Amino acid sequence: MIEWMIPCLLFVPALAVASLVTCVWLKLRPGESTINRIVAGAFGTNAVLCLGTGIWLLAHHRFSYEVSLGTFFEAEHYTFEWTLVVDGLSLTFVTLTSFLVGLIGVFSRRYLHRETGYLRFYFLLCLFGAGTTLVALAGSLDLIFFGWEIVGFTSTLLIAFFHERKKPIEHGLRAFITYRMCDMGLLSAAVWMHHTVGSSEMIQLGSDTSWYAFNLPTDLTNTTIIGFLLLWAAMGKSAQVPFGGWLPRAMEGPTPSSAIFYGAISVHLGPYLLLRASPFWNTSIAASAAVVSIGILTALHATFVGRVQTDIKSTLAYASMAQVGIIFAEIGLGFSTLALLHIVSHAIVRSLQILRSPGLLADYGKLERVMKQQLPRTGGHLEFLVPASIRPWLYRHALERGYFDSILRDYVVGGFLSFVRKIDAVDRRWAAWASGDDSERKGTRVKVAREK
Amino acid sequence: MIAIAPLALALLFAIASLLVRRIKDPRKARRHATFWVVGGFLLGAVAAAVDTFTTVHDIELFGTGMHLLPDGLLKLFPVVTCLVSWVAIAMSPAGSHPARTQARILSLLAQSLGFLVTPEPILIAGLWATSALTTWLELRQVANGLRVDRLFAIYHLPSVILFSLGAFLITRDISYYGVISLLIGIAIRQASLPVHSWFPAFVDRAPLGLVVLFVSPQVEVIAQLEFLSGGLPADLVGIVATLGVVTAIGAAVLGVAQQNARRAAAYLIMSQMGLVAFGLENHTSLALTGALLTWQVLSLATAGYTMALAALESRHGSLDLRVPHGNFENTPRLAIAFLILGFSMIGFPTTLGFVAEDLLVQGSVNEFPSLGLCLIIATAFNGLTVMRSFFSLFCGARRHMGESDLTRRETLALSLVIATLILGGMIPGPVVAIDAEEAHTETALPLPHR
Repeated sequence: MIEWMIPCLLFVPALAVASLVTCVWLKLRPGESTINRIVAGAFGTNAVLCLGTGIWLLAHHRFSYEVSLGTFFEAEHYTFEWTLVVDGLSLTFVTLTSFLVGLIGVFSRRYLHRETGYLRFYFLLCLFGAGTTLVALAGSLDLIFFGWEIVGFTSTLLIAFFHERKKPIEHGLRAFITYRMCDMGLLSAAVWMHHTVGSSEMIQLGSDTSWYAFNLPTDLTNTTIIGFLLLWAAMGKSAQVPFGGWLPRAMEGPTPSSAIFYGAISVHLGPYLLLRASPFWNTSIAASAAVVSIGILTALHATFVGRVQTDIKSTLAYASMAQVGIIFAEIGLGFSTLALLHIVSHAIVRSLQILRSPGLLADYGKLERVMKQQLPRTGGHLEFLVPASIRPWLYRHALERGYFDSILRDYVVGGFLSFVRKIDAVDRRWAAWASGDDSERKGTRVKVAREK
Repeated sequence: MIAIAPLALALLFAIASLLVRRIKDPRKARRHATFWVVGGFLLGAVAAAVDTFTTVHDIELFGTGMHLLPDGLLKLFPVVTCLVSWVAIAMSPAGSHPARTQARILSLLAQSLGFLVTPEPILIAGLWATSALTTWLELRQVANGLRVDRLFAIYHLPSVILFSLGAFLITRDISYYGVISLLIGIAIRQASLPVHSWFPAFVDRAPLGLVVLFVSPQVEVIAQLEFLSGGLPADLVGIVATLGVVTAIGAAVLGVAQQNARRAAAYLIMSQMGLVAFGLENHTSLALTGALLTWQVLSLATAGYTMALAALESRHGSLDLRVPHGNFENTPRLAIAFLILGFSMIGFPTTLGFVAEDLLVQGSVNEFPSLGLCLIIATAFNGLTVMRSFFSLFCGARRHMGESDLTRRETLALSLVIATLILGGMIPGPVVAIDAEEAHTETALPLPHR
């Protein structure tokens, strides 16, 4: 029975995605309730399947189960296998995903009622759910990458959901740039794992009760290299310092998607990846120290910056960042079970907070109108711990978001783009000269001067 | 040995080209050209099916040995090229593609198919020259600013001369210098860095249908497969592979900085062609399989992506990337197609491009570890170019300009390409098997005429 239940966890959302994409391409206009039923139904079914899988494992005194769906493709000695793994970690993640996507599906029915992008929202939500399920059930790093990319893609398009405004577009692009740069780490890790270990498949390293994890290379250098590559990938997806600037901006998307992406699931995929790579942190001190340092630094940074934010969604975004930073530190220190518990509890609480935030603001407004005064400020207790002399400096630092954004914008991206544009200008000038086109050559010069 | 099906199709399209040229109305010409291309596509598909599922392969005619289609991977080339041309013609805007241009597109299609007829170096060199000449003649009539015909000639005249010289030297057993000459000719046509400057200007100014037929079939890969089977001399392998990676990364980086979607597309295509060039120089059959698959994906995805740009340009006008200025509410299909095709090109999961790039990277890491990992950087940057183009062209404006979505003719052609790329990405086994067999044959062969 479990042999078909586990693949169904993947096929049911995939089927929902296929039906929605067919509607989009063929320009069919299903009613809002139909769309809602497809998505909520698919993930409701998945939640039931998760429950069934859990019961089956308990009844059979099993802690994990592996299902092979066959070979995706093979050439020479290289084989890409579809292997799904259910263990304590993946089952928790899939259950959480199914439950929350189903819930958000139901919640959004009213929230996005008569919104022009209703079908688009549900399609992207469903695709995200399918991608996350794949990441959680994946039996190899190759398959994780498959789902990981889908999650990044849907996240970008949902940030830019209100596509008529320029800001959501800019913020979506910023998030995509971060994802893309950090996904290089994941793909490089997968390739390097194949190169050193021979495969990127996960195995059960310890006792029968332990989670599946990536196999370690035989030498410490390669273990550290792969560890750092995986950490790099996790930092982008989970908005850790210095890449965290995209997360508060990502709140431009619809509130329900912000809740599930940046409060609950997507932002926790980094820790999920790190948990799967726990043998690396146990083996390489350098890699585990880096995980802990990044986590602590992010937690401190987000705590300070979050306190000066003036809108509720940005505050919640920084609160998410801080908690995920702590989870990173827990994983680096080897507290894997604690980290998993932290992930689940944080995901549930934070998504509830984000979903509640628009209503909360309305309630506060009502309360202030009744009281005819502003509500008293809360959360100032930490300020007393900071010496008065450094408070202004800290305040400025927090307002500037730790200067990470400006350093990245002005020196890293800006400098790089300026250099590339200069090369491009030289190339264009040569092309204009070679084609004997004076006007173009002058035009290029004018453009170059303007760009400067 | 002569391949009958490509010969028949090449003759058919040569005749079609002459007939279409006589039509004055561009819309009527497009209708006729579409008819011919669809017919050719169906014939190509039937020939491939007969060759695969029956025993009719080799035929003796007039004392000459003939076969229906070339062996191995090239068997699929006529169908793929006809599909590419179908997209190019069905989606060519009448305003920028008069009957003359459409006739030249058919002529280029005929010449591309001619590359498969027989592996005679002189014939291939001749086709190399005529295809460049046909394109140049069309560019002479494009009068929008830059004298792109002159730039094209500056690069392609040496390419034709060096390629022909290389082909000639190889037939005379002077293979080392012949190979070098051939490779330079190919590098120019492939727009490898630093001999690439003609390419962005060409894509920027030429009718996009013509661009597709000149670029998408990538006849230089066929030339490489025909002339350089078994790999290059050892001292050239590293140079060519490095050049491929430099082009892949350099073009990807330059693509991100472009302010016009046509030029961004040019660098995107250049970067992907660099990946193919790199993969072809690997000695592992895994990387070669990836390179061949990337070649096929690139052919289809480039055609769709470029023609989606053409369709958007004819509806919307500006393809400026500096500020987001589009609204996809009225053109959802066009927006989706653009995004899917762009992401297919860069190897996004669920598309055939993912399989191709995975094989290419995994295969090349053993032979060139650092260069193999560099491919990942190129792919990451190419992704940025696609997403930035999508956001700038289809998002950011409050009101749409009343532009219409894809017509039925355009939808059908693009649907076929997208379905091929996605179905291939979901069930890649059969395609990978064909490519792997071809790669195995190629790596097992000694270099001919060496």
